[in-house]
Amino acid sequence: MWSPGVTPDARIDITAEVCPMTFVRTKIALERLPIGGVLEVRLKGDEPLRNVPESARDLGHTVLALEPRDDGTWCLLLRREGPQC
Amino acid sequence: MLTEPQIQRYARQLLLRDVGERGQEALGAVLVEVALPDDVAAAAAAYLRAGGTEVHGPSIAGSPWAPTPPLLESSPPRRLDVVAAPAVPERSGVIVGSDAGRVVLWSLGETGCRACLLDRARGLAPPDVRTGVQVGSLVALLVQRRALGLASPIEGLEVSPGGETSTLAARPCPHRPPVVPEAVLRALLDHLTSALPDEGCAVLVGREDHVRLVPMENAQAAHHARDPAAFPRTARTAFSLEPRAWLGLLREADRTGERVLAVAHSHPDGGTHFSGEDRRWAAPDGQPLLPGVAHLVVAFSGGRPRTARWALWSDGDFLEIDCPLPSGS
Repeated sequence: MWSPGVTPDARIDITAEVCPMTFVRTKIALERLPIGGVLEVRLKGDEPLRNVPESARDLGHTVLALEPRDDGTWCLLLRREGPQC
Repeated sequence: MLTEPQIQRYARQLLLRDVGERGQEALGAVLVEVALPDDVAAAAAAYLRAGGTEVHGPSIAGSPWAPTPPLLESSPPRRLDVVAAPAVPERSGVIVGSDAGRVVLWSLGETGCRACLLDRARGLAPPDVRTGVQVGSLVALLVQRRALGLASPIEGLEVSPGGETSTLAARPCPHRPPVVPEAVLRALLDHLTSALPDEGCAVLVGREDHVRLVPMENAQAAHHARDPAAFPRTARTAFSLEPRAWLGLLREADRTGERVLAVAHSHPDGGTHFSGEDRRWAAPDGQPLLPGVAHLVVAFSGGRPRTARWALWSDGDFLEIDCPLPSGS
């Protein structure tokens, strides 16, 4: 699932955020990208791990990868899809 | 871009698919002028301000919500007027009225037809204020839909005496002439020119995305020759669609799913208006013979088309609207 060849167009760190700001940050960051742009989201904890990829998918965006890091955080790669997302 | 305090303040709204950052900015780019009874105005103002839209009005001082700082300080706000029937918004906005115990709300956008709004809002009484919070929330909903670009050019809601909300169906606008492609308009002018010195006539048929010209024969000359008492005018000053061709056209349109959009004819003498004779033909008993069909009059002088005007049936009379002619015609 890891996409080592993809270079993100933007990065955000939501490890210090709680719901609903975890997805608010992610959604705004996606909206600020051009269609097709890739966002890297650094996240931590069960709630965002469950909700952030799912909420992004619900809006029509694509989950490219979700990988654990050595420091206990996760790295989520999202691709911004159509204008209606 | 929203500031950090704005993101914090509107976080829950930003999560909505139809809002997001751009939508929140659009909500903040609207200034709403409210002229409604106190209870309705206060409720509408509360909902709108909570959503990030600034509201002005004489009767909202009692609103518990502090005015919102403008989200976009640089650009001039888009203004929406919210008025109580029988008043009607000047440009875009919302009208709130009542009719036989129902509360009726209509919302008009910049691209909506004001004449249609006037038709729909005719006869509405000032709103009943007993349902202030409910009606106020619906005012806010209509304004927010408009701000977010989700609203139709005209859209409406009604609240039944029992408090149930439902949407009001839009109607096709009778106040706007059909959109005729330039090539079709040129073909029409050529056909009308070829009929000179007589009046020429033609029919435009089609669907929303495709309009075509059906050149027609002016049968007035034959009618006059056969029965000059019943048809005193010649083809120089009158037109009559050839009956068999007209019937065939209607049958064909029925088969292909097309609609008769307009009947066009020329005035070789330069008369630019939909004349008394034209009106008698198009609405013999004060009712349109062809409901929903526009009329187009092309005025000629010196053998060339000079001006054209649409005549559209609206509220018991024909409304005349200029039809720009292609350049060089």
